[in-house]
Amino acid sequence: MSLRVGLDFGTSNSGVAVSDGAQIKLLPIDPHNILPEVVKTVLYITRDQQCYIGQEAVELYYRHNVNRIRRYVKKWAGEIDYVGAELHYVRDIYVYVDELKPGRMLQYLKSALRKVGNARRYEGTQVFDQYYRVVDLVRIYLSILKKRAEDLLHDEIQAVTLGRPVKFAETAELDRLAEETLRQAALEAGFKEVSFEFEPVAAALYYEKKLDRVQNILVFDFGGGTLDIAIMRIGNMRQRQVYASGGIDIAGSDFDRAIIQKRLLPHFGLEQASHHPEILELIQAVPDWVALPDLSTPHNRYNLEHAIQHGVAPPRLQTLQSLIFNDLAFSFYNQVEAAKIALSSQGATVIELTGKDIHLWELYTRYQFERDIHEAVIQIERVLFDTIAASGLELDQIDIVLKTGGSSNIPAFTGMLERIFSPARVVATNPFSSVTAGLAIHANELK
Amino acid sequence: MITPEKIEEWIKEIQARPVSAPIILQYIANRLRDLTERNEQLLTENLALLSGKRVAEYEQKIAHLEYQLDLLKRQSSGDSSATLSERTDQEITRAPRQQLFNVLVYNQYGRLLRFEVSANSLTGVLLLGQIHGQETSEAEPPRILIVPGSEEIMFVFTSGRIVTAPASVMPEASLSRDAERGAVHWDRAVMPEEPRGGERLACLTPVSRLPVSDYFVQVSRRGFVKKIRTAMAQSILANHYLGSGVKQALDRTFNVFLGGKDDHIILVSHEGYLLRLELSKITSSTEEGIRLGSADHLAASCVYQPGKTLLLMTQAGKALQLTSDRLDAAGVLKTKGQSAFSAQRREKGARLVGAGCASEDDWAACLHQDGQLVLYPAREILASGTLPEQTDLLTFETFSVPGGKSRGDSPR
Repeated sequence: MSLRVGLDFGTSNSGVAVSDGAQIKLLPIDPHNILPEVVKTVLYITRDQQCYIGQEAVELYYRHNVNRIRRYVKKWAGEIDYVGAELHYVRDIYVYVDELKPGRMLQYLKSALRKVGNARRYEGTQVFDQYYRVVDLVRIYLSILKKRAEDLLHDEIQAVTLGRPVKFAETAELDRLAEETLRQAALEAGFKEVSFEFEPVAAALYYEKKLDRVQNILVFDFGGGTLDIAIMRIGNMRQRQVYASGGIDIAGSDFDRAIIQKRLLPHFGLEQASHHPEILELIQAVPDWVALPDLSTPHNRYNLEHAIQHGVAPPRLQTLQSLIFNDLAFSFYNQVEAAKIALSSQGATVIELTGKDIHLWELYTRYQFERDIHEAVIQIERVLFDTIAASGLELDQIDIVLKTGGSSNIPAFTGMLERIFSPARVVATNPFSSVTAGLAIHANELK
Repeated sequence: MITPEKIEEWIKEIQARPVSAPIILQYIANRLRDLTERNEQLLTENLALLSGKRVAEYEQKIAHLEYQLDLLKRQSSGDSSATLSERTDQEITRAPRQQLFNVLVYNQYGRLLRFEVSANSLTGVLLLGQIHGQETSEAEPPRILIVPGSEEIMFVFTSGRIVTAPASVMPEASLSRDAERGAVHWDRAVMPEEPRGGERLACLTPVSRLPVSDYFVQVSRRGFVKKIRTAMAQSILANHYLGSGVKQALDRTFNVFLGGKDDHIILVSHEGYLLRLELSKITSSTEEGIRLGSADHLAASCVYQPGKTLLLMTQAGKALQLTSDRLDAAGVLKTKGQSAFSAQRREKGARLVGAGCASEDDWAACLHQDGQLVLYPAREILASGTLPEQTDLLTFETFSVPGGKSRGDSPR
């Protein structure tokens, strides 16, 4: 039997689904995750070249890195040629490398595809003693997903329909190159047959099944890593047409960062440490979940203790120290994300972290959240109007706005869409699975 | 931190969405409650700091830790240097000390007999010796304490005075024993610390577990109890004074032992009443623990060891066994406790002479009326419910053997 699946390879989250024409089954591909049908698009490669994805990768990364021993050694990284009118000299560049680093965390793999062949090209990366091309990284991620899906389905998967943005890159050549890289990675991962479907089209496919007439639809796909907007005609498979697409690299993870930056950094002494650059650097690294475990060095501990002893915001720096050294980072980011999600359904929530030397409490309201992401709302509204303008359609020619993706539930964006299009025309689908489900439908149609 | 700007923003949320008001109010109320509790704790702490109480506590803690360190050093090296110098070559070449333990028999006049026993020799009933020259019938019966060879002993006198000495420095009774008849006389017993005018030796307390204990528990003959934090041990030992722990003029100190904060203690009276009491319920001031009859007094007191059977021994050598399900934990002090046997038996003269926790792998030390000091396997007593010897008993004590299967790994 030739098993075909739909695979949504997202910027921050991915998913796999299978359809038999009557039913769609979303596979619980990440049992460690709160939503097992969603797997984080992160890849953690250990020193012995073991690879992990999803929540397992995140947990392992924290476990490996918080309070670990480090040993920095000076290594030659390359050289720079200085060329003047009558002067030419070469300077060696050295970097300090942590010899005991247990692994490397890689995220935004999909964004890396966009940069293949680009002027700001990103061809690959060195992970310890092995070089990985972008295609290798994506291949590893897809092969682990494939293996997990096969274990769940108890059958070998032959073919896959992968989702892709309407525009991977600005130019047609780079767009083709990105798709080819993804196709190559999928083939190398063991899929015998690879097809593509535009993600907004996939998101609309399930909705399309219920239609009895042709409609102009705007898909507002707002996930964890990017916002993708597509305006198209659906209702008849032969008359499907994408009028325009657009997007912006703003999404859920940016809002988490905004909450931390605007509301939580003061708890760690942001204002009081302004004249202590080494402490300020630590505080400003808090919003980056990947960077935080790397801060737990003896040097930073010394700096923090020294500042505390000298009366630089002692309780707040104690809180920072506790966050960095007491393995609380994981709980902290989860709390922030939970607060953001809670504000979609209620007017206020509390971000609270209690532990040894840490008593963080922040009452956070939807009004505050909307203030904090106000800039993003303006930018998104602009992109939305630009895309509508590019489609050549008037606002009232768009019959339905289909919103999908976790961030599409944020009331500020729902309100924006309802204000522009009227509430009756804004329809919500399953925020975490509509693209995956649509890709599964597409895969089944190719049988 | 709550700033005016934040409060303003919360108000704006309520103005924009009145439905948010209850949840915001709830969050703020909860926070206020937590902060009030925390503030109270901080105020208490502040008072303790200002009054110097905290400084005194830390000084005591440091002194206690220094004492514990000293004690551990002495234990890890076997004995104190002074003791080592006093030991003979013959003693040093004996079997390893950890396999030996001491059976100490002592009376209220401060006289003490030490019997050194090898754990390997405990294969069945063992007669250690015949002690002659018992005191008059009005006097308290002698008491028994079984401790490892390296144990540190605290002598507690009825005046509240204390003195510590390693058990191993006391001469062994066998040196003064009549070789042919295996007899030893009280007149030849040693007196490591002579009672001063008007005081008597109340008890001997092993203190090697001091670093892992939370309290000294002091019990009076009339059933009064108090606890003293071991954090004060350094000061107590340096001043050689623990206090008598009595409230009534005719009462006197009966026993002192160590306990943890979660332990339960057992008080057993001569007339057959017993009380199981949580150590946490005992106060630092002397309070009546068990309410005894006018002629009654305590016969035994110890820390209850969960999982073991409480063995109560009558003067006729009849053993009563109480498992944990039959031991009621008293909710309050000043109660009569539960009766170990019927009133009819009490009227016929049944009395308890000792008690202790024991499992099948433990042992019992008994001093009979005729002066025989005998070690019995607890297994035999638990099985038969009586002692094989038919002579009356003076004193009864249970203990665990080093390397035995039971929970206690050393004689208590």
